[in-house]
Order: sequence, then C-alpha cells, then structure tokens
Amino acid sequence: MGEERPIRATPVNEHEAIALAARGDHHAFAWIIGEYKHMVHTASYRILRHREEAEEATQDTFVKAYQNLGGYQGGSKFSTWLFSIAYRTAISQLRKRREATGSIDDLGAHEPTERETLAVEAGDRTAALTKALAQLPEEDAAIVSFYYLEEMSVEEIVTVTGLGASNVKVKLHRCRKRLLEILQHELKEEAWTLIAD
Amino acid sequence: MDADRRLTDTEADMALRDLFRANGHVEAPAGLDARILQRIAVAPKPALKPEAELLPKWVWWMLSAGLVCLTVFLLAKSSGSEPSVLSGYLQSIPSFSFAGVFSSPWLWMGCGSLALLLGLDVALERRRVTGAAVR
Repeated sequence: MGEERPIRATPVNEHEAIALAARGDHHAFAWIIGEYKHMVHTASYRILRHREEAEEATQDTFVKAYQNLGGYQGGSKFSTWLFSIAYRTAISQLRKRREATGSIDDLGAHEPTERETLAVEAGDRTAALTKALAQLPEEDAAIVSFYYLEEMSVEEIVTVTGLGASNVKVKLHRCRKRLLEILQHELKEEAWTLIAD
Repeated sequence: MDADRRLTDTEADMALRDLFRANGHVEAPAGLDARILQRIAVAPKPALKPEAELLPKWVWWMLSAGLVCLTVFLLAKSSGSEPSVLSGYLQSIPSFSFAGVFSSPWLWMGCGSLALLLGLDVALERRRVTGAAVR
C-alpha cells in the first residue's frame, strides 16, 4: 500500500474551486484569485483612486471572501457576492481616509496628473476614461464601471451596493450623460468615432 | 460624423460599453496573488456554516402540538358508543399484505439499482477529486 496522498485538486471550474476553497484549500483559492483579481482591483481603484490603497482593499476583499466562503450559499453569482465585499471594503476604506484627513473635499476631486493631461491631449482613450471617471463621485464611478465594464444588470448592482433600484437607474442615467459630456470635451472629434468602431 | 448629432441612449450605452471594455480595466499589480495567499496562510480557516433548516424549530413544535391535540380530540370522540370519526378513518385505509410486497422481484431489483447507482456516484466522485489533478 502506498502512502495516502492529501486531497488537493486543481479546480476545473468555479463551482468546484469554491467548494474546495471553502474547505480550506489554498490551491483552489489561488485559482479564484487568478480569475477575479483584475476585476476586484479595478472596482477598488475606481472607488479609491489610489494604487496602493486599491491593492490593500483588494487584498482585504480576498481575505474576507476566504473567511466567509462558508456563508456563500450560491443564491447569487459568485462574482456579485465578491463584488459586494469589494465595494463595501473600498467604501469603508474611503470613509476611513476621509475621517483621517478630516475632509470631504476629495469627493470626486481627483486632480489629473501632468502625465494624464498629456495622454488625454494625445488622444489616449484610457487616460480620457480615467480622467472622466475621476470627475464623478467615487460611488458613481464604481456603479458605471459595474454596468459598462462588468456588464452587471441593475438588479446585480442593487445587490452589490445595497442602493435602491430607482436610485441606481438615476445614477446610471446621470453618469452616462456626464461621462459623454466629459469624453466629448476631452476626445473632441475622436469621441464620435467611438460608436463607429 | 456630425459632431452636433445627439447620441440615442442605446448608442451611448454601446459606445461607453466598447470604451470600457477596451480601456476600462486596471491591471492588478504583480505579485498580488502571492501577497494575498501569504495573508490567508495565517488567517483563520473559513467557517463552514450549516445549511439553514427547511422549517424553523418553532414550526415543528406547533405541528407536533397540533397533531397531539388532533389525536386527543379523535380519541375522546371515539370513547362514546356511536361510531367515531377515528374508526371511520381507520376503516377507510386499505389493508395489504407486507409479505406480498417484499416477495416482489420489482422491489428488490429497484433496491439493487439504487445501491448500484449510489455506489457508482461515490466511486466516480472520489476518483474525480483525488485522481484528476493532484499536482
């Protein structure tokens, strides 16, 4: 009889990865991190607008998710459950920062760096988008990111943010209008090629 | 394209979705996975929560109490000289022979199939988890 090998399987899908990670399998959780790290980091960055803080929030999100995996009942999509942790973690970190600085002026008052300004002038769409999102309140920037980037439905955004459906719809409508105004100003004629691409 | 033309909501949504898809991601920093796993290595293991009960305990207590009350009521009614409600119900239950049921080959073939399928399911599940990818 050979020595019994520990049960440590490479998950082949999300469902299996969650089941294994919930039993404490770090290998399976590494698979989950690999699948979602960019999305969680993007959501954190849209709210915090600071690389190091976004990384800290991303780490906190995954640690919380790991510790609470047993509570994930599968009632909603795993990504929705994970994003709700990421959203609350980033918002909580943002509040702490505001309390620490004693200021509410930083709400949406991200000043574009010289590099960003130059990139926008050169017609860099990524920089233009970052600059446009920075002019929205953090919560709204996250909501439009969930809607347009992660392609979440209004119901999913409601689950993630805890806001009312009508509130989310109003925010999306206002943000769309505002984003288009900013992008048209930043990208000038190029903005009109967005729909022609 | 005419810059003065206003986009419809659908066109605006499509344009923004394309823009976000192509330019909206923020790459996670290198080494993030390892740093998270380091933190998890020292974090407490995830707590497995038992699944929620189908019916809460108080419902079971209420149902039990209701059943006891019904039984007492029916017994009390049956103690009289007239034919009771309970005896009426008991008479309406068809009688059947257990010996006949257990001697049926269909019952034993059904039980055999169930055992075979359950055994196969357990064996395949064990093979999938342990053998598929222990790396």
